[in-house]
Amino acid sequence: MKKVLSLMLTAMLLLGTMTACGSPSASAPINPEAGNSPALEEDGTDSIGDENTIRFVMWSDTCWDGFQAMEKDFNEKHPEYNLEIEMNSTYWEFINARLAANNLPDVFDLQPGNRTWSMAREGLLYDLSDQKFVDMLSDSVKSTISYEDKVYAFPMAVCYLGIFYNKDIFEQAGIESPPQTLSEFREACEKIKALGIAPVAVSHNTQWTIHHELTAMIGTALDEKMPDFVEAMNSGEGSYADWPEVNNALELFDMMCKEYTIDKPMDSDYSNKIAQFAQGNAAMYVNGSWTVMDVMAINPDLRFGVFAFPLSEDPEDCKMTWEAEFCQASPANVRNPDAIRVFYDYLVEQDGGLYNVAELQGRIPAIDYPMPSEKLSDTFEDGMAIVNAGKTVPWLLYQMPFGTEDADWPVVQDYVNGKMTREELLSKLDYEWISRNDF
Amino acid sequence: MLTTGFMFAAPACLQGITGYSGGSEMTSMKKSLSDQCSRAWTYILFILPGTFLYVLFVLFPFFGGTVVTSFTKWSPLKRSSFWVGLKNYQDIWTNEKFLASFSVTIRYMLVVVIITNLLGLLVALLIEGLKRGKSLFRNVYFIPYIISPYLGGFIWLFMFTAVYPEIVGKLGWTNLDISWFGNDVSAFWAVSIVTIWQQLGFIVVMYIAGLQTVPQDILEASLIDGATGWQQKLYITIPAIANVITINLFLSITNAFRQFDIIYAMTKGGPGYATRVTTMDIYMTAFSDQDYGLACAKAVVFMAMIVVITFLQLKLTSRKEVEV
Repeated sequence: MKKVLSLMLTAMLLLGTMTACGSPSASAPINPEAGNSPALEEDGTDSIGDENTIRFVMWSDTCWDGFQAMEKDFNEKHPEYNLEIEMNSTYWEFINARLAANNLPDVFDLQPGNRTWSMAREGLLYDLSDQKFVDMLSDSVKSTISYEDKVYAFPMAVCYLGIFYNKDIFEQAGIESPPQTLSEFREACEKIKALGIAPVAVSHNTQWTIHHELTAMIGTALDEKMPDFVEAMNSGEGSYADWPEVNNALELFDMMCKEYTIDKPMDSDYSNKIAQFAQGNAAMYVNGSWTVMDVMAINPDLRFGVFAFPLSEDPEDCKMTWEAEFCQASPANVRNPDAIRVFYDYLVEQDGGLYNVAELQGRIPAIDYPMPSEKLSDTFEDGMAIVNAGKTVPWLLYQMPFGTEDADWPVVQDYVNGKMTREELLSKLDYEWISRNDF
Repeated sequence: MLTTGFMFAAPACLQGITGYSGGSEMTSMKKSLSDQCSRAWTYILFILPGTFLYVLFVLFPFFGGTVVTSFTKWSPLKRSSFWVGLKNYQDIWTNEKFLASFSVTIRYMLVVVIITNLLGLLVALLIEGLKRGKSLFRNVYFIPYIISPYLGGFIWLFMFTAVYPEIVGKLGWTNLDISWFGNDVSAFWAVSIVTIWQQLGFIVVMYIAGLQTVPQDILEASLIDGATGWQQKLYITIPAIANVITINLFLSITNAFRQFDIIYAMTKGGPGYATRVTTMDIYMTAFSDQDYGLACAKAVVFMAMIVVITFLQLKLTSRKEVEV
């Protein structure tokens, strides 16, 4: 009798544990740390939900409200499908883990340039060449998401990176126009400092920002020489120190990130940087056009604009970074190609994805759309004036090998913290690039 | 667990099978052995599910996954995996980031373990000395332990960067208004303080439980003999709870070695590499560098180091245990 009871209890316990380990529901968040990744299907893609469910996983984004509105709008317009958008704060670790498990989400965020090319080269991405958005893109944007003449990603937005500035503080300091040379920039910083205001808000505690700033400045300084620089680095024979333009970029970087910063720069994160600028405690910050809505959310009445990086004593060298901001892609063996095609078509509808990106997220769509410039302070007009004048350069970040960003930021943090010289910085940056060339 | 069950069951069963027959005494012995065998199988069946899950989700992935992968070069991006033998293990000893992270981990472990245990014992003694409010204080100290370490890290990040400067500013203590994440030393202490805050409650509760087992008659006898409170603590109480000290040291050492969440939330290993512990280095090697083989090799070596250190600790401290 006891044996029978023991056996029954054991069987019940085993059954209970097996049930608990079943597939999670479609709405369960993906969290590699919680270990609840969905089961692997034969075709290797997401198994959560049926073929009409589209799982879109994105990285941390301050425009989350906009994406939630996108999910709602798409599901209302396409009731036969079920779009589920999730945000993941450890995004690249999550995607890399899913890549290892051959289990990428139906739609996921991706950086244009090297990340897209690397994955396309390995046959990991779905070919989107026959989607209608392809003919709507400019050649420069298309090149960052194409590999061997095929398009593998959809660029949801384009962006510029430059120096955002408080127009009221500039007027107060007697700065009539934004600086266009390094010495003008230094002079402007001194004038602002004399007012008792911090010239530059920084976010050295947030790793991605510091690397974005450095690569934007170096890339813009290299300008037309960037392809040669990238080729040299990819061959394993190049070095940052071989290019005098890098030194110019570091002159500006040092002023903005070491010399003229807010108090306690290493304690400041992205939110604090934006808050300090929006509240008028700092006159400038470096970042991308996607930050404008964050500033407006804190201070909608702030008068601010953007100017290009002054990278030498020649105003002609004063340029800005202009690039596809981020894109979306799908795995080559996606389980629901019909559903994701409908989603990509939705993303280029004037009253669908484009409206959402421009009006709700405050981003610049890669497809033509009349931007609500009145919502974006003067930054949009300032930025587009520079873009239309052709004073832009692609972003170096997207030319760098997989994983370089994560490897570089501790090095750059040590540099801005005064723990290494410029030569040591460049040497370590060389190592982090070249050692990843075969990734 | 399974081994213990089998060790208990097998002899009992064997005795039951091969036992004597004949005679009332032999009959009752046979019945007793049969009962033992039956109980033993009951025990085994109860521990079977847990053991099965442990083998399936811990041992099998470790030996079949981590250890095997540590002998390969595996790139999920390139969809390739090939055998490299001991190369990953050789590369570890020249990998500056791994060696630096291990140095950070050892320092971090020593600071956290020593302070948590000393402070924990002191707090436990103080709480046990209270006439009222013991439960309240015990619960208050335990609360941080039940907060998610990741969340706790974010809370303290805000405290260090926003709340603390406000407080010292208002009090006029400008000398104390430091940049917590502005240099290696203060960042190291910031993550250590948060770890101690998070772990302290559990250690205190364990010490309180141990203190409650100290025989009161020995303490009273020592009072009669003229022992001071301090002498009582040093010569009677602490030796009496030596087994609890052993357990707490073991748990706090292993927790410190495994720490990841708090540091990831607060500094992500920064500034630079100042707070990059080994767990974080392994994580970055796998998910940023995409070198899963090397990451697994680092994990295996790290695990071996932890086993050696905790073995030595158990050996050293268990010698001090006394029976009371």
